[in-house]
Amino acid sequence: MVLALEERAALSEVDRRRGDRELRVRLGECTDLELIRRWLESASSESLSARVARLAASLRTLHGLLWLIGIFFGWGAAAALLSIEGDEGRINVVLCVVLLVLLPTALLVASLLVVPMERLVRGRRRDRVGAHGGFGLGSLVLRLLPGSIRNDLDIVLGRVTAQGRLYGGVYRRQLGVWSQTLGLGFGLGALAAIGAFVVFTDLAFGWSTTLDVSPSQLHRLTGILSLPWAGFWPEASPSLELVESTRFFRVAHEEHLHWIDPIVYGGWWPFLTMTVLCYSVLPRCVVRIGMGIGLTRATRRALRSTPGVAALLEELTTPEVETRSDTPETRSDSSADSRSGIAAVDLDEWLREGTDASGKASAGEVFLLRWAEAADDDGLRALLAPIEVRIRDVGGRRNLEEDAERVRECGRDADAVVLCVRAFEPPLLEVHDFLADLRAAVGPGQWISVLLLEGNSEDERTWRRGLARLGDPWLRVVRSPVRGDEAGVTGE
Amino acid sequence: MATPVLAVVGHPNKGKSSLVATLARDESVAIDADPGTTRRARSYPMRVDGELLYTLVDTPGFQRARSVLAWLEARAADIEASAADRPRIVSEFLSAAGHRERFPDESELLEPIVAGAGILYVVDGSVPYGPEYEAEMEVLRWTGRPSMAIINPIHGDAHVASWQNALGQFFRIVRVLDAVRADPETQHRLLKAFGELDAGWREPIDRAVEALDRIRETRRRAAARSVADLIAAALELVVEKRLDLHADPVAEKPDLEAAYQRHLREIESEHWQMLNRIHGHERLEAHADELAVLDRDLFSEGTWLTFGLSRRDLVAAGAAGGAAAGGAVDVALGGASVFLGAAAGAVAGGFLGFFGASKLAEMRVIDRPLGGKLLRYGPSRNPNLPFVLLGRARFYESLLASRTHAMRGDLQLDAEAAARMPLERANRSGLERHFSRLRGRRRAALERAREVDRLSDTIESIFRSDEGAAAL
Repeated sequence: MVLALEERAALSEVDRRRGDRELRVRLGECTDLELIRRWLESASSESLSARVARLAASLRTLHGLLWLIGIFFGWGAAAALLSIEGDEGRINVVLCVVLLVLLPTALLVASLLVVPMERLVRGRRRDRVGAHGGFGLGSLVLRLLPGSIRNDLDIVLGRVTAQGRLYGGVYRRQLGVWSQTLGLGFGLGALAAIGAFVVFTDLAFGWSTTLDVSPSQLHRLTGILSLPWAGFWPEASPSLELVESTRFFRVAHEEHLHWIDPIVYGGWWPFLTMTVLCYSVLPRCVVRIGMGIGLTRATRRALRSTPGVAALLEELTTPEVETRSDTPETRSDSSADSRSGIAAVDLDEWLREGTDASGKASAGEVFLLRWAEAADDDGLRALLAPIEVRIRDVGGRRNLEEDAERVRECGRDADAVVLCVRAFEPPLLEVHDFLADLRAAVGPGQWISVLLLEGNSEDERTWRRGLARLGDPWLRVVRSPVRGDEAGVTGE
Repeated sequence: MATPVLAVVGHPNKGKSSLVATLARDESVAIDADPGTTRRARSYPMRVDGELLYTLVDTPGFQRARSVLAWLEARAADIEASAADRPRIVSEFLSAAGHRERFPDESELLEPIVAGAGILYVVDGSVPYGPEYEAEMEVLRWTGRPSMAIINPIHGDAHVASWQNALGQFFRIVRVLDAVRADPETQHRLLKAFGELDAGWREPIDRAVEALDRIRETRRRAAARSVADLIAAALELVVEKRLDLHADPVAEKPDLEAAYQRHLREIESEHWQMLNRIHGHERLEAHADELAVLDRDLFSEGTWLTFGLSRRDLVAAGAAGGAAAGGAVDVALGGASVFLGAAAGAVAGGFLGFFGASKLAEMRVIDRPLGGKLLRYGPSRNPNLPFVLLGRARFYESLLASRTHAMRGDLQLDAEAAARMPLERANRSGLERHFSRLRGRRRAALERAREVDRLSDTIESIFRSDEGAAAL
């Protein structure tokens, strides 16, 4: 994980996002851990995958090695015990039980107690690497690995050291798994050795102790020990007769020596087998499974808490959303047009032009073409007084034929033409077409005025620039009193 | 099932491109007060993980709607067409000889519709309805495509009601949306309304909205993370200078202090640019200089008054932080200290809060083992500095979060609005705890990272409440 995150950090954002997206689409809904696992599988480069695979193979080999070592020592210990015969030619069951069962059990209990003891003693440092139980087992085990693998582990463990609190739990549990594997191997080896010796050799068991223990006391003890299997294999629980008859002394009086069937001396093997199985192998097995589960959980926890993983999960689970256009924006030439546009006059000035010195109208027949019902008749007449105008409707709901008729009428009868528009509406090409037709009708050299109603200075600029594209030098804009120069955002 | 395509059409200069820029979160959209800025249709595909969910198409405005309608009516009369033939006649209009040249804008806007796009007809609700729009709406009706009208109140909603009445006669769905200022919830509601246009469109559009909601959360989280990183970096900032043995350290102090402030400004500027990128306002980077200080310098008195805490708040926050630190001692002693640790911490924190606010950082002179001196300015112990940085970043973030991609120009600073964003008491003490931990002795990288994570979570919750308050 650490190595893979390192590789990911070296990728470009585009590559990272592409990889994340492909993985997300392929996986659909899944848990965080599954996502991380699949990401690890898919995101790692070949070289990293090879390194990780090599590391995993080495750890597996190490694990197998620990099994073999445990089994070897278990077999060796049991074989040695079953081969050592006392003066009486008998194998001391008490010694077997102590060495094959009690000692490993004591070690198991001790190893289980190490963790809570350390927590008490070392407090907050408990999770740090090095503050683990295992009696230096970690270092010892790691030495078994080849140099190249150790290098990879060093990288990971370098992080472990730096972030001990995060990975300490994993490390401790890994050591626990290894130690329990060793112990379980030992128990299984011992069990196998007992089985082999029972089958292939003639074992003569007995029991002997300097302590003042009577056969009945030992029988009670073996009875208690045999409780777990007494129900289904009563023969594996030594009888009082067996206990009494197999006791031996280094120095025995003649009266104690009496003939016993040699078969009886072998009667302890079921008890010894079940004791090793029940009190050595099974507890180790349970603890080994528990440690394995603990290791998995700790690994998951550490995985989630590894710096960079939260961000990774966030990136992996957040969909890549694209909303922008794939194509570049093309701006029209008109938007870059910096010309100020056609001429503009104020309404007052326009009115003065159309009246004589006494203030009476002198413009002759003035046609006012009202575009798209821009204003009502009375309002227009009041605005343009004292000039009398003939109001004609064009644009808006009128069809093109009606517009053409008005244009013809202007060309025929008008001395002056004013097109009245709502300034807040932009000058459309439709208006351009109309003005071009109007110019053709009235001829050159006569002003066509465009009276802007309800506009502000921005609207005026828009109209002047827009109408400038017609290239008509006798076209001008007439400003009416504005409705207010509110600034603000207008948009196409 | 084809994915939804929505053509945004209407009169020129009524906010079509603004609407598209906002919904597509694309600041490259040309928006201009001059009509006719958009001359070509431009597509904005919305994809989630590469899967196309819908496409918005920005189109030029109608320029000769009456001429188009006249042609359509004439053609229908010629072939004695029924209403069912109208969409085909619109297709014929597009393919008729010379129309591309004569009606370039109409061709651009009608092509996607004839190809199957839904219609989003945009009008300006701040100006009165006029009869010149009727030809446009009639042409759109001839296409037979599902349609919706959007009233965009560019300069106010004075005429929205009359528009609703008029548009209701042509469109089944009419919505009001300020294309420039619409908040994300409103935008998402509008997107969902697009799903009502066609039964098959609902599912992809709902998924798109879900993804956009998710992205919003991600963005908020990333912004909070960036601000937490900014504060952590600022609290750790140290500027050093080596001096000869006989040089006067006091004379060097102004330069060192200036260098410290410059570095702090740079750190802040970098993180604000990160916020720009998080919100997809990359072009704002061009104005980074003006924005870097929100028109006020980081170290100006005005800034500290607007964004920092008052002495009283600083004492309270300092006391809370100190009590938390002292409380840790009590816990370590198993309560044997009878909470004296917390009490002493509170007093010390309050004291620091009161008297520490006037100094940005301390300068220390360190003798070097091989001769000479090392001047070190920082890290800052000023209790107000992180609050000022947070306050400014928070205000900047709120501006960015509410900024649509149709908005142009610099961010508008509203000092009054900034002053209306006080921190809640609970947040203040929580933040002070994070700040004091980050200020504390050198921490392991992982512990620092975790503290920054916690600070980031707190800031994210503040950002979330800010967004909630803004929505109200």
